Amino acid sequence: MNLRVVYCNHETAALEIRERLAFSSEERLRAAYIHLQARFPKTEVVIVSTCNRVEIYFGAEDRGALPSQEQIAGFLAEFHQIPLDDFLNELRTETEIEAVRHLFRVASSLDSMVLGEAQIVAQIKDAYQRGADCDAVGPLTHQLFQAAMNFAGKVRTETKLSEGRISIASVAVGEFGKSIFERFDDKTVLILGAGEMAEETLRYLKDEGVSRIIIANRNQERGQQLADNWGGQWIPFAEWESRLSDVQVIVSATGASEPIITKQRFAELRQDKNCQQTLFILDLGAPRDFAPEIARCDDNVFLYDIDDLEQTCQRNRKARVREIEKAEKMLDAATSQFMHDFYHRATGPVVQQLRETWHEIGRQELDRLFRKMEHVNDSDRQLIEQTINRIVNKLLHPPLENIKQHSREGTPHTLLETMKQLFGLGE
Amino acid sequence: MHQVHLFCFLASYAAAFFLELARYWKPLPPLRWLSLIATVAGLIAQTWYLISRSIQSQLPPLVASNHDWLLVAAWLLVAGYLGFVVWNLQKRGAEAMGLFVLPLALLMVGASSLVSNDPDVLLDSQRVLKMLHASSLVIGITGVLAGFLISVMYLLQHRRLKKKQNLRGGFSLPALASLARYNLWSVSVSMPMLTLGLLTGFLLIGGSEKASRPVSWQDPIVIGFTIVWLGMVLSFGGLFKKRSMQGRQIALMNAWAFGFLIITLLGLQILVNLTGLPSQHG
Repeated sequence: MNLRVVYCNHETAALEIRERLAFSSEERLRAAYIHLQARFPKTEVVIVSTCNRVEIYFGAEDRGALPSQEQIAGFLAEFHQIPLDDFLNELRTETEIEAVRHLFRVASSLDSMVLGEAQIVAQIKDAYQRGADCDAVGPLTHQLFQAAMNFAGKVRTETKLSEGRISIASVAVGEFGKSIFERFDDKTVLILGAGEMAEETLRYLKDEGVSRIIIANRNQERGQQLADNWGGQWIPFAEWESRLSDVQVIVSATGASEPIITKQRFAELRQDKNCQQTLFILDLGAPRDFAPEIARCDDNVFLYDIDDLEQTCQRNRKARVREIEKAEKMLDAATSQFMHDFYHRATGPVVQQLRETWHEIGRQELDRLFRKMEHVNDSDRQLIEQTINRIVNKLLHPPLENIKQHSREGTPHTLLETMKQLFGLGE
Repeated sequence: MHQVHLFCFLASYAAAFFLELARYWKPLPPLRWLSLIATVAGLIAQTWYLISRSIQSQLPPLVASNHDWLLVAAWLLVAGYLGFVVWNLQKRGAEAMGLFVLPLALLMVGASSLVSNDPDVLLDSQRVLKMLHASSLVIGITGVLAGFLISVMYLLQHRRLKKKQNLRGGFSLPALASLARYNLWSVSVSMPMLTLGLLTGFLLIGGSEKASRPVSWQDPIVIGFTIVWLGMVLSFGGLFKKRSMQGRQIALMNAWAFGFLIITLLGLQILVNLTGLPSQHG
């Protein structure tokens, strides 16, 4: 297996770096795929870019075709126009079985800021689908991502990792929002952006009793659809500032490549007498939608971004340590199983050919024998057939066992080649 | 007999406080129940103590002596705390209240042993007015104490939220919006009651001029309290006029004003008692 992942996430890199390395829009992602395919033509690629991580998975039939970490870093620097030194130390890489284990960890949310969150599986699925749409996915990445999604489902059903507060939004509202407001049913919520993150947040806010929802989104169709689904009101994105005086909660996840409002502009808006209410801002965008200095604008503004939730997530993690242990064991088993299945699939054609060839030889010899011994009755005939089959199987056992043993550590290319030559097996 | 009883509820409140402290480090549910049981036991002992003293002196606890008066204020504070905790038992937010209320209750019970516990021999004259004076002041001062604690809690909660710190296990405070509302209530209750207490005090001083033991206008506690009261009226008057004032500023001002009033009154009481300055309130 020739597999490599290069990544940075909430544990290895600060939000500032992740923001700069993120592929923040559909157009940027497609452009990245085009660049990568042109640069590394013999590889399969899948890009996973979320608010907490930027990861690029490469797979190749030929080991030499796999790009090195330096080459991938070079691509990132060139594509995002960022000096290499700014992020090189924040990048991590894994290959082969460790790369498989990493993706399984990510998909099952063991690597997430909020343990047990369901969102990451959908994000992995989207990433894979986008890779497929861009013709960047091949057999290796296909198998890998399918297995990762299956594993995520298994962890979700067989452990209690996802019990309690599991999404970033629910943690933020539960830990911070509820310490600001005693109730939400009399609050007006402004949602900036109508993506998956916004919908996830809305679901939680609805559970808290929020009834007045304003959705500001650039895409009217999507914004209107979200507003209809949740009983809210859609407004054009450009109008959101004018509604600031009406709202007490802002949830922002626009996917904009730079902050949608500066501290100076925000302070200007807050000077209005009608606009000085307590404001809880949940900035779930990466890059951030609100300039971080806005948090210091006045005493009644409480701004939280993704990184601010880190501490809460650590506590969440501690509370679920037993479930983590269970999931980690499942992870080890699933990774080994995947590797075994993968290598088994790689050795499968040779094994099958060898089996078929030898049994075919057995059948031919039996036919010849029975033609000469017409007096043999059916029960004797059956006995002879069973004996021959047993002999063939016993002869097959050592080479097949050898292949099996060797394939636990990787595809035994040399052994397979030798087998083909020794026993005259075709391609 | 009284000293033993005072120690009883002092020890109960101290035990409850240490259990709260333990809960701060290790938030085990049994610790909370044990702390509540110790507080309830202390409150029962304190009630019994006050009733015993009232029966012994043939006077209502509020006006029997400054010692009793302080204990009534502490009793109101602890009873209010228990009521709040029971009311919010299933809700998050009241877990850390004990860490604030119990030390203050301990301080008040401790201070009560430093002030006069001699029964007021002049109570028979103007009994109703004296009762009104004492009860309005005790409610007002308890409101001030509660307001002080609420303001401190507001400031801590605000700081935590601004610093984006996680909730520590077993240490959750009410939401800022709730604390701001409680703060307003404490000001709305304590200021009129303190004003009523002051006015009835002036009437008592005026009425005592022809009595055998007149109360002096130069009583240090009267002067000190009047000055602090004036300061508070000016501050809160400004507060209600200036609508744009933010929750944190209100809490900060309340904490200072209420804290200053408590320190002034307690300090003057202890000073009068220790130095023997002429005062009807010492």
